[in-house]
Amino acid sequence: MDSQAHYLQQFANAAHARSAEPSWLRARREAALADFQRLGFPSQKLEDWRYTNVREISETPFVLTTPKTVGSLSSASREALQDPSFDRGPRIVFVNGIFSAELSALDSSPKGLRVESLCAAPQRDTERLIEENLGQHLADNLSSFAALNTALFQDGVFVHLARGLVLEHPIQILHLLDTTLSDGESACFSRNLYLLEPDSHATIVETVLNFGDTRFLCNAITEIVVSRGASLKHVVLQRGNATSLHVSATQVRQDAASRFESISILLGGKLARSDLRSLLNAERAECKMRGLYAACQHQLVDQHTFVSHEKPLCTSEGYYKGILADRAHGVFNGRVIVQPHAQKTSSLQSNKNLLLSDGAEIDSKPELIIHADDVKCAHGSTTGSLSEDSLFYLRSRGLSEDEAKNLLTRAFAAEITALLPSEHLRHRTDAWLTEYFAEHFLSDGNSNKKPIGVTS
Amino acid sequence: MLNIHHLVVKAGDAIILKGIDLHIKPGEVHAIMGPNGSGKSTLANTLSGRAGYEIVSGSVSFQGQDLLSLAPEIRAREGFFLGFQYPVEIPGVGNMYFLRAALNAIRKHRGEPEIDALDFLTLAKEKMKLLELDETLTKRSVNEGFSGGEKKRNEIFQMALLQPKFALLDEIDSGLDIDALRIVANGVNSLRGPERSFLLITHYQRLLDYIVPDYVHVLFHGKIAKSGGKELALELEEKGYGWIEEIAKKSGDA
Ligand SMILES: Nc1ncnc2c1ncn2[C@@H]1O[C@H](COP(=O)(O)OP(=O)(O)OP(=O)(O)O)[C@@H](O)[C@H]1O
Ligand SMILES: [Mg+2]
Repeated sequence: MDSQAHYLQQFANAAHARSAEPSWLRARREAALADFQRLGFPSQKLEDWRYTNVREISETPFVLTTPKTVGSLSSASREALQDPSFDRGPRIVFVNGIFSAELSALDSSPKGLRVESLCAAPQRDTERLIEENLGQHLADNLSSFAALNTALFQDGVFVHLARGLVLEHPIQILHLLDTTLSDGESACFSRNLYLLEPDSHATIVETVLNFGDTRFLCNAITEIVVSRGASLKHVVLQRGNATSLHVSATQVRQDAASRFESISILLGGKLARSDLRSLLNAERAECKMRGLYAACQHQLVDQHTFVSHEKPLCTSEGYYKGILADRAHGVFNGRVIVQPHAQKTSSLQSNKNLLLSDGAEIDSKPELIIHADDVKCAHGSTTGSLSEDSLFYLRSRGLSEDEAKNLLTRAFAAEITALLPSEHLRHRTDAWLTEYFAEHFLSDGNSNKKPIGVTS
Repeated sequence: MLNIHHLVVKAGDAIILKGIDLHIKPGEVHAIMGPNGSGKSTLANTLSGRAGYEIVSGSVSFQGQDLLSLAPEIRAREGFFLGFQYPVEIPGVGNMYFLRAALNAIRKHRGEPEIDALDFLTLAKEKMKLLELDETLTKRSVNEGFSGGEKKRNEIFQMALLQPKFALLDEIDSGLDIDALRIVANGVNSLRGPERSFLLITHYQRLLDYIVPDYVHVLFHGKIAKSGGKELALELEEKGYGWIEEIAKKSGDA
């Protein structure tokens, strides 16, 4: 069976689950499936996918995940739940893409805030909001993965903030992708929709963790609307492993004087592709996208960002840092378009990469396309290795070469991790990085080597 | 403590050290002076294990061990300390975090238990006082944005914390104002003792007024052209290096 036929079959298999869905949604799914059939998986001939070969995804007959009992979670997954940052504010947990009421804690949500499973929502009062927004913000060229996601998505998060609501604590979203639970090579498709009404403020922290060593595909599409005067800080912490495949895309629409800030940490994964796009749709919108991506062994991380300045007086900032070790391949593409009427645009973009071995590779391409004349825009990209002088300085004080490299690598990352909004998150991320690079740096035969994906 | 035998070292394509002999006993303070480019920092880098220096011939023993066969971090853990002429700035690496890691690496090597964060802080505060270092400075990244003088004081602060057996201080006095020079010298003097030795590299006799050496050596074109007591420094201050050149030429002829 070819890959498309395989997914048609998956679609047919899930018909029963869809029978309870509203007719508009079924219609959208069918239309999306037709789009996917027409488009197929992206080939490397497409500029946006030039460096990223998705053959492993298209050629593996992944089976959609099914609900699992919480009792069958691996101990590593359980441990992840113990993180103190999940204690405050609403928490919504998904196991292999499927909502777990048992692990979630949604009772404490303040008035005016909705945090719930997207698929539970259509039967309720929020159906109209979902119908108006779901799939309506995706740019046409967001690739066939978005179409496939619309056709197949199993569940996801729906967040709605009423006008003027200011959240005290972050909304925590946790995705446990645990193949010790699944029956063979499986895939989950999650779909998220966050709507911030005018003048509301929120922080959303999404943690995506892979466990187990069976091939697993996670495809996630998120649509976000930040209305006039509203502000969203969006934190994504994603830790893949040697068998994880991730293709995720987030599309933001920003209204007048809105603020959107993204901070992402993408750590490894056999293949991790992330697209983050914002449409600055009205005057004085501000958009900040900053993140760190890291990969080792034969992994591929691919970070694409896109900001479209549609109206005057908006500002955007992009700052991404990459760490590539062993024979890992990194891709960064940051595109900013300033449309003809978007005068007084200010946009700054920078990408810095650290290559830790001769075999590591980065393709970095910041792009600036300007159709207006009164703008202030700059972009740049640098690639380097660890400073020999710094390494020697640390070693001359007694640190081993491994420790010195690890410390300097984490220092490179610190500029981004320091942006994380809580001590817990900074601490957790730093621990991940330490472990992740210890894995790479410790020379063979070193006994305290720990496999990636096992928390300490 | 430290014995250097006929050390010949190449950097790039050139022989920089052309046969150095130096013997430093426990408790002694030696000073090396010499014109720019004579090879002082090359000696310091070679002894501390920096890459890029090729040992053509000769040997160095440190407390009976073959120093040159040890990795830089093992030299440090065995009690060898280099105070850098140009300490590097390392953004993102916290000074205190780094120093505790260093101290613990050394303690572990000696079979001693690790020091916890609290005890370390107490210890560090005591040494900060000794060096009259501002506490906020030590909370920053290693040397980041430090003034020239602050960087040098930070080197001595590190030495005071790590308590090496032998310290090689490369131009620890350059860039220091008069007060800072006194503070740094006090720091060094407070560490002097019968078991600990120092090698000071300096251009100025002034430092040696504060830290009085037992021996002074003049390095010239990669060789020790003359050795003497502390009065040799005064003589150099007065006469410059011209007369040393004469001596070097004569010994070259011989
Ligand atoms: N890696 C290298 N490659 C080539 N030449 C080098 C290298 N390192 C040092 N040299 C040369 O060796 C000579 C000695 O340099 P060194 O830094 O040891 O001098 P110094 O005595 O410390 O001088 P200063 O008083 O200016 O600090 C200089 O001519 C220098 O250019
Ligand atoms: Mg020098």
